[in-house]
Amino acid sequence: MLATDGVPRRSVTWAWKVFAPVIVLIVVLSPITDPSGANEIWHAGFLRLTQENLLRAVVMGLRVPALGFACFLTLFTTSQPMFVRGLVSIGVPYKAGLTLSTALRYIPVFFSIFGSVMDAQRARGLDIGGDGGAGGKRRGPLARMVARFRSYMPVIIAVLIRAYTMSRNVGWAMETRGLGMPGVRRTYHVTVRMNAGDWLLLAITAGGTAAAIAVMLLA
Amino acid sequence: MTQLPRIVIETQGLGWRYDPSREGQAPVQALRGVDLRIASGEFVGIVGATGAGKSTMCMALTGIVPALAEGRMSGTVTVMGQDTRGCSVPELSRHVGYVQQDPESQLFCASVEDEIAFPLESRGVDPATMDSLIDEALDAVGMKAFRNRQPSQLSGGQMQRVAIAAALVSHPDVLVLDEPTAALDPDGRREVMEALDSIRRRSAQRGTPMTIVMAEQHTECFLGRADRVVFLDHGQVQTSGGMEIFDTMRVPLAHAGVAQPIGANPRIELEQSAMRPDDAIITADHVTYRYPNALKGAAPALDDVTLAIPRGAFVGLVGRNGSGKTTLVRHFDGLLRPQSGTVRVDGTDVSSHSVGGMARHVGFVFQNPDHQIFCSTVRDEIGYGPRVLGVPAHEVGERVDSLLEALSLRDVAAAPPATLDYGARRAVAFASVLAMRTPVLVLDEPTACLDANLSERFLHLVDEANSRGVTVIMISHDMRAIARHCTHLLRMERGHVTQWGAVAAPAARRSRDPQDSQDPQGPRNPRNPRADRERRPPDGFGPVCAGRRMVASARSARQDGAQPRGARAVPGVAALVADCGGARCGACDACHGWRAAT
Repeated sequence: MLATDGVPRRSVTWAWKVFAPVIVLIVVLSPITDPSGANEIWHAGFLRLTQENLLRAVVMGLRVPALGFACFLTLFTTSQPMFVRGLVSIGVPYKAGLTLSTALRYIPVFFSIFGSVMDAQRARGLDIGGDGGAGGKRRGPLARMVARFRSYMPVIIAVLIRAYTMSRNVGWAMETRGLGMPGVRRTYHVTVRMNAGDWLLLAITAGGTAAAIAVMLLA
Repeated sequence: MTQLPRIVIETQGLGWRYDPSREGQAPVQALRGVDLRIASGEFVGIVGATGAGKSTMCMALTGIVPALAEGRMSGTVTVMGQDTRGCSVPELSRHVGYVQQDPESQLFCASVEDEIAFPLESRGVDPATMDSLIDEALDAVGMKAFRNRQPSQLSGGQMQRVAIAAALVSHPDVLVLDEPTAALDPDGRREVMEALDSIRRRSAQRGTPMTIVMAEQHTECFLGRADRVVFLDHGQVQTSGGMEIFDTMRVPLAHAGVAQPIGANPRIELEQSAMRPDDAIITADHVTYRYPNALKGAAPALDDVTLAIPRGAFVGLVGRNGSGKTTLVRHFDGLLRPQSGTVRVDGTDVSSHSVGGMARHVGFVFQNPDHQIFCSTVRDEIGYGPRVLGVPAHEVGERVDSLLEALSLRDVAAAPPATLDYGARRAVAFASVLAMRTPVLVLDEPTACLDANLSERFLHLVDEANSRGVTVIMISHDMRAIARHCTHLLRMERGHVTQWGAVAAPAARRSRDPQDSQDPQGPRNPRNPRADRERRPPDGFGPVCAGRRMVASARSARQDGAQPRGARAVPGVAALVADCGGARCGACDACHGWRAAT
């Protein structure tokens, strides 16, 4: 799917970079927390690597990109109005669909605001890195981690304030453009229709899911 | 065919009081007894100081006040025969299109096409006709080629044009614009005004003239356009008339910080290229920078920039959006690191220090105050920077008290800065950086979205800092402010420095703007800023006309319910005002007006 969906390679690479630390963490921690399995490969103290727990670790790790890319591809290949229209056609209220799609649309905006706020705070000497900052006091690793966590609080507060103001203004802008106009049945610029290929894909997906569940239950 | 009513907007005794935003705060009376009648096809400009009630007035015409805002309304507003208290904002939007100040908050769809389609969908327009209506709206504002673009890819001026198109697509009778050019550079402002001119022409040709109500600080936008100007002050209409009110009400407008609608910007001439200064506080040697997400083959944001800024200079940094101004100044405090070349500040290689470490050397005032504000009180906010730098507590207290006084923030010292109005938040953010007393001060559009008085107040403090030897770099599109305050001019274009040097001698510098003040003591000396500082009056006021600042200071004090400090604390004020009177100083009328008022 990634090869054929037309999503820019740079975006796919970015997504892998985001998932990579999580995948590594899961694969590393999984055998530590689950030492079971009959075919032992290696052991040292409490740590025990078996074919079974390694396989389970890989499967758990791969679930992250599987789920992640499912969401990623949906967002990347579906325009905002198509997304909302699709939700509305399966019975989701329009405002709920609009809320969800607007929230997704503003995620990069808030990332940008987060960056701007962080720059502004760092320029005033805020110790984002936890290493003592402009005041110059050196800290141990644990103290640095705690300080780093606390240093994000001013940034988060400033972002939340900006987010509140922006969301209020967005709401006003929507209403001044007629959102919720009484006595009017909303129309849609984008039309959504299921064609034969869509029905076929839906059938295959539903059938495959049912078959997988059946195999699991029988096994 | 339905005949449009002659009067499309009527307010009678309109008042609006905002609910308190924090405990212990009194409600804010934003509008008081406003009576206004606007006829079909009129272009009405609304002017006034920051906080005068312009935005509230615009919101009242769209129904946001009282339906969505939190407060209490008195009086009535009738738009196209409908009482706004009895109909919702979406209902009123059938007749009124609204454009806000912030482009980012009003473009919420993923593409330009979707933005224009949204109001059509909301009105149940036949989908088969939507494409042609979208085309027509985008064509009216000159944005047809951008139909499939994402709003985030557009410039500020382009975003505002899309917002105007979205407001227009459903053919409202009235278009309300709340400072649409506030956040724009001169090019963006010109684009927006040209779009409005096009819209008016088209609607006039159709025989349905568009009624436009526009609040604006850049009063030159009204030249040749506004049929009437309404002057709001402290929520009340002071006067309403044609453009002649800028002459007849010159003094009160100046008191309120409303700029005269002067068409041409002052022309700033530079002396011949100066040698590299002996005492340069900032040097950039062959600096090149490309943003990581720039397209392949795109030109660098900074391209082999070499520069030496003398210590104590006050540099005006100008250029179009995207010219590299912000990219350059972000190198001074380490927010950006050059890909080649070196940047040194106060003898320190910036790349060998963290941003936090550079905070000791460079104070940076960002344009958006909300990016800097996070403390629970104004006092804490202003004191945050010096505390981080390790300044002793008693000295932090002194610095904070001094800035609270200078910016009239004493009454709100214990209030959360996030709950203050825009002008006060700007003042807090500004003070929070000034309190750090760094040897270099970088200001990003310090006067944007502010009235002339507030702008002068900020720049007066910057002048004071400069007179103490602080080097100032100010990004600005306000050429009048640059002509009045700066000793050097740096112009950038496409990542290159195209003009750099000391501002030329007085005859060449003199502004064409009769409102611009002239320093009674003569021009600033860009070659020797220290010598220039020694020539200032002993009372500490800078080269900008002292009379005008007295007016601003006294007025602010009266607004705060305090005694006008300028009249009592400084015995020489009356003499200064008298000395200014009769000279060719643009603020003299303001001085006379202040004397008459007190």
